[in-house]
Amino acid sequence: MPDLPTDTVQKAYVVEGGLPRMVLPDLAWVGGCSSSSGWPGRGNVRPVTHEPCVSFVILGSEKTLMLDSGHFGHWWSLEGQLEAVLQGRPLDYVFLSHQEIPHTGNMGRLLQKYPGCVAIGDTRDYHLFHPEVSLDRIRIMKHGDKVSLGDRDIVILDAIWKDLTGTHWAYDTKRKLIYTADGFGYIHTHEENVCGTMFHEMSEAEWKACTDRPALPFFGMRSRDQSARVDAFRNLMKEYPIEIITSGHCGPIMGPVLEPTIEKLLTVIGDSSKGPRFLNSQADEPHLIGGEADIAKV
Amino acid sequence: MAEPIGRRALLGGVQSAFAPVPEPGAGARAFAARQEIQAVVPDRLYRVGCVVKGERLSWLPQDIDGYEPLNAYLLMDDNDSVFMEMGSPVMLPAIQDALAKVGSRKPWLWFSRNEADCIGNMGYLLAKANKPTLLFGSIAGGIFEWINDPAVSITDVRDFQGRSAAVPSRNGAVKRIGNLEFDFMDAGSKQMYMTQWVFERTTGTLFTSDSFGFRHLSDLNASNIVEGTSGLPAVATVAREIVEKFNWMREAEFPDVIERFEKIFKDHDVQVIAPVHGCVIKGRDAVAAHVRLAVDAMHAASKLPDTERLYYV
Repeated sequence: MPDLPTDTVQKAYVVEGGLPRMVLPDLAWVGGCSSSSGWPGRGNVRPVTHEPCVSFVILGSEKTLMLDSGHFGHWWSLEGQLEAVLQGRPLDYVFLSHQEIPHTGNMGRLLQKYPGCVAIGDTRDYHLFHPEVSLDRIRIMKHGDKVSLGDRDIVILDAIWKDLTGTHWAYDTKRKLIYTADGFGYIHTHEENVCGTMFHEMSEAEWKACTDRPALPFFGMRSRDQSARVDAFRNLMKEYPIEIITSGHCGPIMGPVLEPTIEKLLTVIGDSSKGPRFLNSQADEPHLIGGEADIAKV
Repeated sequence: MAEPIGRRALLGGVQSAFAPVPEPGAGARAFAARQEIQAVVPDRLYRVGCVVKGERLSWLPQDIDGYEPLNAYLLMDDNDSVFMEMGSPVMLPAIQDALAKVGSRKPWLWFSRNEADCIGNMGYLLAKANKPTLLFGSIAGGIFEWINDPAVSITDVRDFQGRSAAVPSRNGAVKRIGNLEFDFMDAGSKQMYMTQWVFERTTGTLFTSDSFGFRHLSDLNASNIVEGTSGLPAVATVAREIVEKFNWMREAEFPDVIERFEKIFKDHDVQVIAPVHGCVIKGRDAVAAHVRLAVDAMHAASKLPDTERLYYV
C-alpha cells in the first residue's frame, strides 16, 4: 500500500469528494469525511478509513433549513460551502438531531453568522453549551411538531434508534426525504475513493462494500428486541413515505438503491440480538480496522 | 458540610448567586448561579461548577421545581493537578477560577465522554493551561475539535492534535500521577459508547459521568453534597429519570450490565461518587444507599415502555 501524504495522515478531519453538491435544485449536500488517521495513536494504522460527516441544506420557497450543523472541525471549509449553496439567502433554521459533535458542533458559529437563524429540535441542554445565545433562538420541539419552509413542512420525528438522548429525525414533506441522524451511516476506506459519492453513483461492488460496514452507534441494541423496532421503522415508512434517506454519516440514498439499502440495514439490525461484530462497546476493544466497521464516532 | 471557597458574580446573561431569576423572554439567556470551587476532600478534591434551573434539561423526565448542580472536578497534590471533566461552557467562570488555583502545578485533563457537558471547556483549557496533557481513553480524535467558545479564536482552537500531549488511559489501566492513583474502567452504566469511569484511590472517589445524577437541589442555595441516606427519591422516580438519559434500558433485559455495575462497587472502596450533574454523594453509607437505589431503578427501568417505538405501532 502506498504511503499517504503526510498532511492526510496527520489531520483529524479531511474534506474531499467535491462537496458541496447540489443534489437537487432544493437540496444541497455539504461537509466531508472524518478520517481514522486523525485519532491519537492511529496515524500510522492502515488502512485509513473514512466516515461521511455531512449535513444537508433544504432550500424551501420561503425559508432555508440545515439538517444538523456539521462538525466543528469542518467549519473552515463548511462556512464557504454554505455560502455557495445558499447563494445569498440567509439560513433560517438549523435542525439539531442530537448533541453529538459531528451533528451539533457548529451551532454557535451558525447562529453567529446568520443572526436570524433559529436552532430547532430537542434542544434541551443547548443553553448550557451556548450561554451566549438567547433562549428564543434555541427552540425546543417534540415529536410531530413542524416548521414551514413555504412549499413544504419539516416534521420532527422521535428517533427509533438513538445514539444519545433526545435524538430526533426530520422529514421533508415535499421531497419525502427523511434525515435519520446516525442512521444508515457507513465506513469506507481512503483507497476506495468514494468520498462525496452517492450509492447509486457507485459500482455495485462499492455499494456492497460500504453497506457491509454499517456504523450503528446505538448502545444497548443487544439488550432489546430489535425486530419490534424494525417493525416500527416499517410503520414509520407507511405514515411518512420515503424517497430519499439522508443522515449525518451517509450521502443521499435515492433511486434504485433505496429499497435494497433499507432492507439490507433492517436485516442487519433485526439480527443484532445475535451480536454482530460491529457492536463493540468497550473503549479497549480493537476497532476501525479496514473491513470491520466501528461504532466509534470520529 | 463542605464550604464553598470561592464564589463570583458572572458574565453576560449568567446571574450572580443571589440575583432574582428572570422569566425567559426575548433576549433571555441561560441562568446559572453559584459558580464556585468547593472542597469535597480538603486539599485534594474540589468540585468545580455552577447551579442551573431544573428546566430545559434532557436528563430530567420533566422540569423539576428546583435546581441542578453542574459539575467538573479538580484533583491536586503538590505538583500535579487533574481536571476530572471540563464541564459545560455555562460554567466557564468556575473553570477559569479553577485554572487559576492550579498555579504552577502540571495540568492534566480527563473526560468521561465526548459530549459537551464533559468537554465543553476543553478548548479553553487546552489553549490557556500551561502545556496540559490529555488522558485519552481511546475516545474519538474529534474531541480535539469540539471547541465552540467564541472567546477563543478559531486559529487558537484548531489543530490541537498536533500540539497537545495525549497519553493513554485505557480501561483497565492503573496510572499514578504524583500522589494520585487512578483506575480507569468502562462505565458501569451509559448511553454513549466508550463512556469511561475512573476511581481515584487516595480520595476513594468514583467519577461516574452521567450516572448517579439523580439528587437535585430544592432551592438555589441548598448543599450540593449529599452525606447521608435520608431523603432518597423513590425507585420509580429514579427509573423514570435514568431512562431519559439511557433510553435503551426501556423494554430491555440487561442483567450482565447490572451485575457488572454492582461489582464495580464491590471491587472498590468508594467513599465519594462524583457525577457531572446532580449532587455529589459522600460517605460510605450514602454511597451504599445510592448504589442500591440505582440498581433497583435499573431493574424498574427495564419494565418501562419504549415511548419512541410506540409512536410507530
